[in-house]
Amino acid sequence: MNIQFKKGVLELCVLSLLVKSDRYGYELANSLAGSISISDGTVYPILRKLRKDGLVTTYLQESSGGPPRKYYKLTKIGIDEQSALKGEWGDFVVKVSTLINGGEDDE
Amino acid sequence: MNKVKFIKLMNRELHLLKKSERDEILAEFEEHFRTGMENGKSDEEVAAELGKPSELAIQYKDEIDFSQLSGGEKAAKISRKFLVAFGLLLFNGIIGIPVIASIFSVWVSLWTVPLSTGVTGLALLAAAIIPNLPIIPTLYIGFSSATIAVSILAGISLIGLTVLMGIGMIYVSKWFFRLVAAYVSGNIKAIKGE
Repeated sequence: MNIQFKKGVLELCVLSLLVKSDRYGYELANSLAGSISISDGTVYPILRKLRKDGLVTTYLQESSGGPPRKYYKLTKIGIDEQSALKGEWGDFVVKVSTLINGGEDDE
Repeated sequence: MNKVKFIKLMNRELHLLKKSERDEILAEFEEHFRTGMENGKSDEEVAAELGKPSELAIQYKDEIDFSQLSGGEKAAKISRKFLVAFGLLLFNGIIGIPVIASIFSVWVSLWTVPLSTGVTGLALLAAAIIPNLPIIPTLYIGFSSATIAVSILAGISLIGLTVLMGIGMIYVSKWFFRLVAAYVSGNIKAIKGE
């Protein structure tokens, strides 16, 4: 997949993965890399940025027979932002599809 | 590459970040390795899946701590100190030290005044008390009681004068030492650059 498409949408993807449930890093990395062909590690800088922007928080949870695991969770702002971005993405896809299929934007 | 190498490389690539940030990021990767290996993967596999440390590090560019860029700022500070030290060396050599040296020689010669006065006074007293004492050839005092009295009086007043001058010189010396101390600490402050 073209790298420019990926960059624009990775944050939306990560936010969307967290909408249904909190997840830990490894899970997110695998889900994301499984869908779009990016390296597993990419998810971590994205998560860090989302956290700094207040869209995501983390907490530690005890895991069986090992050190506690870091879980990522959407904040209220994160939930709103995911919803807004999802809408924008939908619009964007429609407009781009129209354009590349030789059509014009509605007058 | 294995986990150790991955973490080491990552650490190096993120050197522009604050240590606390860097440690947090590395901990996340450590956890990823741990989970991956729990799921039966080798650390080599996990490292390969994670991607290249150099490419991942670029994505953390927003974390760079510009307020404490170690390289440039430190270099600027050090070269500044060198410039100041060199300038001070020139100043001290050409102006500072010669000036202080001449003030010092003036101070030394000023001391000769009370010193010579005191010596003269003592000599007069001695000549008066001890008969025929050839201390000062041209000032040979005879036996006459009048001249002896004069000599004693002169001697005492000269010694008194010496004491006064001595007190004065102590103040002058204090001032001189304070001047030198201020000059030296001024130099030190300039080098420190506070």
